[in-house]
Amino acid sequence: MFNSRQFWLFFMLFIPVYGLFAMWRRRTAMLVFVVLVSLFFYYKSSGLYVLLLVARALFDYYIVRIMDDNPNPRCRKALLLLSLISSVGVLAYFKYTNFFALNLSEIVGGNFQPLDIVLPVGISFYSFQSISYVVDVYKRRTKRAGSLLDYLFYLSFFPYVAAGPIVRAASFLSQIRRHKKITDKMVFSGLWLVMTGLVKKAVVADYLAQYNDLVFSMPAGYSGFECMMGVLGYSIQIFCDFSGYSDIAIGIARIMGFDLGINFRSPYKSLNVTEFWHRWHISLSTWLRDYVYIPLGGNRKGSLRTYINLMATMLIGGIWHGAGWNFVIWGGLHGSGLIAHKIYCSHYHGRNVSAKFLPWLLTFAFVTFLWIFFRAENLNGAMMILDNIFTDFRPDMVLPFVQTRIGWVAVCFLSLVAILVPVKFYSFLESEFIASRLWIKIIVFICVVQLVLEFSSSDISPFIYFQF
Amino acid sequence: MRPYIKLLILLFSAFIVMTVFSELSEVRLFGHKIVTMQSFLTHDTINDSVEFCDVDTTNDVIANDTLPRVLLFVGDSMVEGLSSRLGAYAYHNGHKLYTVIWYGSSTEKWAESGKLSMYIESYKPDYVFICLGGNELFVRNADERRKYVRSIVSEIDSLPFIWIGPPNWKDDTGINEVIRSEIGDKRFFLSKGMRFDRAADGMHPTEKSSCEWMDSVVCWMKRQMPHPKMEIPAEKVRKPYKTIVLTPDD
Repeated sequence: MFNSRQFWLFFMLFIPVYGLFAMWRRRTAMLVFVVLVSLFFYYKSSGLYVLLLVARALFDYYIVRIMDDNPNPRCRKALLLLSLISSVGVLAYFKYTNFFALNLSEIVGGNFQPLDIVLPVGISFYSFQSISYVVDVYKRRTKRAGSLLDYLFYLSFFPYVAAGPIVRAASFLSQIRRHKKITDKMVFSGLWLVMTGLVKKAVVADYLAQYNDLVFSMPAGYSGFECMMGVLGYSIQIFCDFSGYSDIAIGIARIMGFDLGINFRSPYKSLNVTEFWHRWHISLSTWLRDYVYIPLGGNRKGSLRTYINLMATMLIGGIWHGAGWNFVIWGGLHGSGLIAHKIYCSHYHGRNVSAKFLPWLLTFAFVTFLWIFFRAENLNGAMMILDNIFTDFRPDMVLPFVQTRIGWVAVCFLSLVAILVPVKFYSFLESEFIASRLWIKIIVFICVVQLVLEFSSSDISPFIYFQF
Repeated sequence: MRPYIKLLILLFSAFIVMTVFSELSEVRLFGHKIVTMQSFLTHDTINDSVEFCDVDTTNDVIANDTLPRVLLFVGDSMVEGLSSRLGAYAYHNGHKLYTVIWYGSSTEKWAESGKLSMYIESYKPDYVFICLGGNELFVRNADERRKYVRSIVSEIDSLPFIWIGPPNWKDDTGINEVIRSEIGDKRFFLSKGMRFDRAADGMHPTEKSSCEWMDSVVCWMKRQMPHPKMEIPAEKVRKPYKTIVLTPDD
């Protein structure tokens, strides 16, 4: 929704009203207003599934109240299980029913026709938020929401409800009732994030996608080199698409005075897979760490159990992204990478790796290689791309490719350079923007909008993570 | 509230500047035509109002040629779906169908490559089908494509042909009108406005929908001009006699 004109026209009307509530310190009125806006936006993207979101909020809120007030540990545990089963059950129904039924049908030789199940937007994200809230209150790691309104606000907040980041109740609920003075720095640093997000999404990701989509939709028509370029392009595309969305979501929340943390910390600068997962989709990786990996035993039960836990966590992370074997393989291969890195560290612990280029290249190549499974339409498509790359590379295609797709190559190369530029440089630009005069900000903003218009395809591409 | 007032001033100023800018007829920077908000906003979804034509109910057909013929079907990736159905027609009616699918191709590519002349020379078709324009729906220089359409038509020379327009999923920037105005209503099948079930990519019609699309073309063709024998085949799809696949970089 953030890349549609309707959203921004609406946002221009939303901000004055929100600002008035903030100025008058009418916190409850502000909450009601934002909840209504959030539900309206959710309704616009998912129709009557908005009722599912409201039902989730009602169910969690009252279950947690009863659980929190109950001194009996068994009763508390039963209520926790009830909530978890309902969250995971609803998510599983919408996301995995056809997948499991289809596979079961193939095993038993049946003739299964997929059910007409539409995946509600953001269900994977808000289900995970709901689980984290219930578990955290159960474990007394956080206080329960002060009111149903607070919890509904937390679960449905429009900047993140559709595609994350997955915000924890512990860090967010406390911000809801706090009177925070909105400063210039807060608003314009939020706007800066929104602008960088729009450039990442509309200028880089959507432009690169034009070629990448061709390669992934009919890999048979491309040589190995072209397929490899498509894969490299997708690696940059998915980062710019998803981190762009996260930037916009975090930026809008910051403009409104809420801190959602950070979701990407230059993941493609990682020197190993473990570091990559500390930097990529941080809200999901920390969620998986805290609610899957550690409860399974983490690294406290010996090496073998650690590896099994890592693999199980990454498989869950893989299938969370989509109901398909390619996502399972993607998660499993990442799990293998993490295990391999752990084994390497246990054998070569303390060795100083002074040369950083090779580990960086290996990590980037590994992560990019695995995107093939993530993006391919099915397992056959992924295998066809791999087959082309390894058996029909055709280096003679390099020059004609560069000549005919010079614009794509330029955007790809510049994006890669931009991704590797030190964060300090962007922080410097951001602080300069915040400190600049208003008319300079207006010019910068107009330039960004014009850039987005120039690069935008007429058809607005949805954010990749909306499908999850 | 002050920060929000500043933000609103920024947003509204930008909005006003972009709106005024979009009122200017054409702004160029170093020869590049600047995209305005106006042109960006006018791309709204089209109203899918035209239904598929039902082949069985067609009565007012023009007398056709009953001899077995050689058919040549060229174009972009849309040909893939259409040619399976046309293959069934060809087989059923005794024709020989050659298909050339050039993925990612455009009128420009076909006009400048001279490939159409080459295939006409090789296969000596009696009738040519073209499906092009799907990769040019949103180009900003639709009118500049006119010369490519003319070039393609000149390559066909005196052979009878029809041009199947692209299956719009949104309103185009003028390619349909450019083709129609160059070749005339009798030869141009306007697919824009038809309702298609789309494949996962959101662009190409599904196999079933492509078959219905081809049926509509045949049904329309029978009412427009002399045409090869086109009785409805019993089988739904059949491979063309020969298919040549070209990649975007060919």
